[in-house]
Amino acid sequence: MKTLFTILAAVAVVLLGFGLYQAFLVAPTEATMGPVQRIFYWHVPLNIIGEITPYVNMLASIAYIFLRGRNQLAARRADALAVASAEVTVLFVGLGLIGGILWGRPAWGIWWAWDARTTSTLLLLLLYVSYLLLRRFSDGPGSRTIAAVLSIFAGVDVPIVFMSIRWWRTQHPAPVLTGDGEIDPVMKSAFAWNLLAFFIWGIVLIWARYATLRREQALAEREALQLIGVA
Amino acid sequence: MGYSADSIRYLHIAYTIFITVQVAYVAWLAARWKRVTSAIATTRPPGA
Repeated sequence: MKTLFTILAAVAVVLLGFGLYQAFLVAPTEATMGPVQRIFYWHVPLNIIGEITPYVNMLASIAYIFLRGRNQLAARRADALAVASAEVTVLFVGLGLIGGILWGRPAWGIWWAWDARTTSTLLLLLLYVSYLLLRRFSDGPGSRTIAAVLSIFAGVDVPIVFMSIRWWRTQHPAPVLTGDGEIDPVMKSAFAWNLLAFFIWGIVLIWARYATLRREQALAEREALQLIGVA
Repeated sequence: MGYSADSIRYLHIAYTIFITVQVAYVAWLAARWKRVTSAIATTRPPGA
């Protein structure tokens, strides 16, 4: 497993570097917005993967709720996966939002638009920040269950974020890749490389955080057993 | 074609933040892994 992780991490780093090369040196400069449009090549993949990781969190949370009274080991694994995916969600969605703000300033002339896409994405970020704060500042199986329930509700925001530019008139552009808009094939290819890079990078980060959390759970178990004099 | 200085400036700021934050997260993860691994090494396993 360690070898597989190392290979996957190396592939992700190489692909991220190749993605940057594609974004900065291969893709043409967009005619209207100029160089700032190149934020697109990381902003969009960060947000797309940041809309997949909440479902990992949600499924792991459902598994935790189902398993907690039946199989303690499997429940702890599910819980670690839920926390790992929530952290990566905050990282990716947070960076995606920052990219959007920095793109919006020169493109729209404003830092922030309270439109459906940006607001629902901010809500998604705040929901997962609250999930992590809940996990950080409260302890015990009760808090894990409450956080798992919160994550199920938080997952409901994801389809709202995705559909927001289809359901409502927004400042944010309409779908470029799946809508009617046309995109230069070289731009599309550069975007696809970056999307693949972030997909693998997301797996690597969740895997690394999951492994750390499992070790922390094992350490907590050992310390608890020492405390009561069993070990 | 010339573009505004802002267009290039905001592009640089965005990618600097993207890369810096992710490198910082990986460094934090590595430190955490190292700390928990050394703590496990100095703690007796259950039943030992």
